[in-house]
Amino acid sequence: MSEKEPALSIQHLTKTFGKKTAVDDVSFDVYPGEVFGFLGPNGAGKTTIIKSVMGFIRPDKGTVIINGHNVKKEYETAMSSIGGIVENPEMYTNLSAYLNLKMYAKLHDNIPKGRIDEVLELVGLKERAKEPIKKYSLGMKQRIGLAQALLHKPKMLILDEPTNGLDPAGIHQLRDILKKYAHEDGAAVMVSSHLLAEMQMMCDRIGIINHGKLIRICSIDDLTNQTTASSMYRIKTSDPKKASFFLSETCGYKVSNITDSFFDIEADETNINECVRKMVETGSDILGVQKVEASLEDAFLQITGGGIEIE
Amino acid sequence: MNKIAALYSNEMIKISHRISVWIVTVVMIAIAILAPIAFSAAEEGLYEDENYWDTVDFKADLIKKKDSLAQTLGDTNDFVRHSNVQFTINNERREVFSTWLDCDEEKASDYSDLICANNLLSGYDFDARPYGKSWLSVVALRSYYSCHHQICQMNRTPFEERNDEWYSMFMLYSQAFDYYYEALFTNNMQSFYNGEKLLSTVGDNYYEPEIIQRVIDIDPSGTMTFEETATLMEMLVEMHSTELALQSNLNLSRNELPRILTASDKAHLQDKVSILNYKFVHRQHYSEKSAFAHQLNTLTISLGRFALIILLVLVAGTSVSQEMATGSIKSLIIAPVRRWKIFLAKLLSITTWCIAGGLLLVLTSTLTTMLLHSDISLPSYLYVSGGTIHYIPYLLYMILTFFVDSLSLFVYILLAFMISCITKNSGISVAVSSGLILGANLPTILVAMIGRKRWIDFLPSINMNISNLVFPFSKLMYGTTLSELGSEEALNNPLSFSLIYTGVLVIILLAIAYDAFTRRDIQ
Repeated sequence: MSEKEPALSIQHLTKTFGKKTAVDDVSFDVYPGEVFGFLGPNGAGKTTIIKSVMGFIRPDKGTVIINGHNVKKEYETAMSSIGGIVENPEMYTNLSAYLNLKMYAKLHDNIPKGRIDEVLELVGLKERAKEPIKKYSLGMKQRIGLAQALLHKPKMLILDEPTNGLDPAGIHQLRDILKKYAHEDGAAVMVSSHLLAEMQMMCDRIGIINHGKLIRICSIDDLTNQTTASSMYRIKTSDPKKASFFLSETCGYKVSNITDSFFDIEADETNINECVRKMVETGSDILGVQKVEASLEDAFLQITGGGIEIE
Repeated sequence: MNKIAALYSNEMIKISHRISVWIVTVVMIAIAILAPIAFSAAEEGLYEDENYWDTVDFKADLIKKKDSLAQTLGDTNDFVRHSNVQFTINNERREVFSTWLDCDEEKASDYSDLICANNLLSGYDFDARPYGKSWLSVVALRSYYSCHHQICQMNRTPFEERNDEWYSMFMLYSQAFDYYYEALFTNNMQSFYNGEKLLSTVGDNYYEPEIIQRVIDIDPSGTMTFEETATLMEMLVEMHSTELALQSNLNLSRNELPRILTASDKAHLQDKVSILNYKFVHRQHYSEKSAFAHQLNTLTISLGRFALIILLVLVAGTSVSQEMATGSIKSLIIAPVRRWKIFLAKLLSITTWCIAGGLLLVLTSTLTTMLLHSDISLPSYLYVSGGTIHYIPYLLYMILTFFVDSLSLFVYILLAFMISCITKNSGISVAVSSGLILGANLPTILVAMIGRKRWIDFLPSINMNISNLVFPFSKLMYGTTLSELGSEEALNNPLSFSLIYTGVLVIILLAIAYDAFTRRDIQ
């Protein structure tokens, strides 16, 4: 991907609020054609980074380059290639959706006349566009926010927690829209979330942030592969203590989660057979063997909590 | 530039979609229309005496008066004596036929009235020159009576006590009496002037002869109405005293201690004389009715101003803070426009509402007033520029004075905007700025309590009350026919000081607001 010019390039971004460092020397690039997931627990600094990019707050240090334009030096040019939602989409609630979009459109150059109807259709709100936004549900507000963000076809689309308030169908639709916008229209999309499953389904690449530091950037596949390389099995038996002791002490397997009815063992597909055979040989009964799927969540917890080395 | 225009039109859309803005606007317009109507209805009763002179049957009253005097006095031969008395006239002794009233002061006075009434009833043409129709008929009659009265009192001096001095004084009053007789019976303003001129030598004149001289210029036959001439006389009196001040080089204003005139004082007084002279020559006399209409219009505007203050504080005080509170500011920040453009657009939109609101109020109120009093012409404001008189039509004058008067209001609106930018809290900005506007009268109260102190000159409201500096000749529109509302204590600094002061204040407020808006992080 590095042969392409990044749509968004953040270098050494630092922002402190009082004594608290919200963002600490963060650098990363987002490229056209990809959906970049921005992952981190609440308060990790995701929104602060997004706000720095969008001009809401002034970073103490670092540069933000959007589509080749430095935000500090060419603010309006840089900002014209960006669109997005920060936290919740806030609009003028006493005005209609259509008027909100029309007012926003005026602030951009060269938005064709039919574009407002186009985005309204895209988010499925064309029928209710004349209603004031205060009558909208949270999900509808989220969708009209997306319509606004897409209005000027930004090369860099940034959505902060975009699935908030959407129903499952809405989430599905949003995912399709974003994927299509990145993969087919060739724009860069950055999505922040603390919901991991969502990221897994939506993103091509992911940046993990915690305590204001960027811990890791990798593709979704890398992340899941890393954890599935050695997988986990759960063995149900009437005496988990005895069996797990034998397997760890004699055979050198890693066991964990020992309860009254089961224990977990780290093994791949070939040596799980051996484990089961050895248990049968030593007289332990086997009530069940089940593969424990490693998820992004585990990986995430491992990375953010376990202090895994950054590549 | 396009971006600013787009932002500006968006701001206007946002404001115009607020119901509260429209409610207050409607209230303001309702005040501006209904108040003049209500005031005019109340005014009806005030002019019952409008045709006072028509209700007076002067001739019938005179006959009644004459009869009752004749009865009181009885036979006049009882106290009226005649004799020839010797006086030195042109260095020779001559016999002069003389009358002696051998009675007390009151009886002489009644006798004088009786003679005057008889004269009038036998020679005065009541139909052609109804008493009270013209100013001259009123003042000449008064002087005619009082002059004759003086003569009768002189005639109480016994024959033997009369000397040459008495005779010359007697002749002076007799001469004056003849002039007043002529003025009264032939409507001759010049004769009235002659009488006043003559009596001025003994200080017994009623008007300055110079002033009457000016009236002769425009009304030689004394046909102008009493009201018209009286108000013209007021101008003349003021003009005369101003000219006296210029001649003596002393400020003789009633409210101040006498002091030597400065160059600017002189220029001001000179202009005042020119304006008064212009008004006099063009017979733009003060009118009680138009003064009243103007006063009601002013009152309406000051009532409507309360609604306007609410409107503007609502618009300016929430402009930024409300967007911050609801988060709608985000859709502005995300847009590719620099923050100073957003700031400027907001400031421009507030300014537009200030101007539009003010215009709406003044136009509605003034036009309603003009419509209700379509029979009266409201006076223009006159001023001198380059040695010639210029005028500002009433409507325009009202608009201009409104905006000059509202200088402080607009500074406070700016303050509301500034607080709105800093606090992001609509409540605080609305409360603080409303409080300051309502407290604007504080300096006047302070001065009343502790007297004039140097630091009071630096209070904002002192320096923003510059209407009488910008329009120094406003009072010449109505003279004393306009009874001022409230006290007229002028607490003014020089205009240049006030303007610089206000300018600095505005720049500070703008700078703080700008800094807060453009540099602050939006959370």
